[in-house]
Amino acid sequence: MPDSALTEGERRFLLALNRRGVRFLVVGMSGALIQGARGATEDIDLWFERTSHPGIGEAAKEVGGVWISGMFGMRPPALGGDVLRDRFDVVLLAQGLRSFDEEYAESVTFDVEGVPLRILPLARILTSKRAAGRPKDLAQIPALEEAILAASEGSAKT
Amino acid sequence: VDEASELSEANRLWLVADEAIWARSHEIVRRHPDLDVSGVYHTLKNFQRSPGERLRRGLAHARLGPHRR
Repeated sequence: MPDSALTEGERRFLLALNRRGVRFLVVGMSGALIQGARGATEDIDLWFERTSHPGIGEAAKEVGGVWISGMFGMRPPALGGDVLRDRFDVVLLAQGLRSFDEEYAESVTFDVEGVPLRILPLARILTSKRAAGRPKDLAQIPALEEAILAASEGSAKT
Repeated sequence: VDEASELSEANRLWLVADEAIWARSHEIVRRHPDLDVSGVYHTLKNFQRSPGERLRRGLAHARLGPHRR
């Protein structure tokens, strides 16, 4: 088992986004895990303010990754390549959430292995999971509720 | 036999700290009876880890789990 959450390529990419002023949020279960919820996910979901921001492609290029901002064939915007691999998912439809600006304004910042990340708060992730309503989203709700209540009891560290 | 008396000092300290987390979990569940005490316990354990460690464990568990996308 690797001893880092992020690969070096992923870490450098996220730092490059921050350096270029690209606004994005970590949403979904990866954001919940960072805030202490128990569970598992295969992806790190990124919600960009706008996928047309040139800084995304520049950051990907800087680390040797691939970014294709438009829809290409059957697939959504592509973020990956040999260095970045396939763990980043670009979220285009944030179900149950308000505008990016509104959610960003209430986001929380966590340092993940030296990378400051803006993250959707647990309560908002819970809202989005309820709105999405797929079996895998609904299955994650108890863990989110536990984390929200345990954190409200003053037990969380950031 | 008192099992705790045979523990090393490090393990005894771990057990005391762990017992405190269980006690805290039960305390929270008393106020929120819909919650699962084991789930709260693991959440409190997570809160003691760094954000990076929390993410690493969650991503690793997904790779090991039976339900892949």
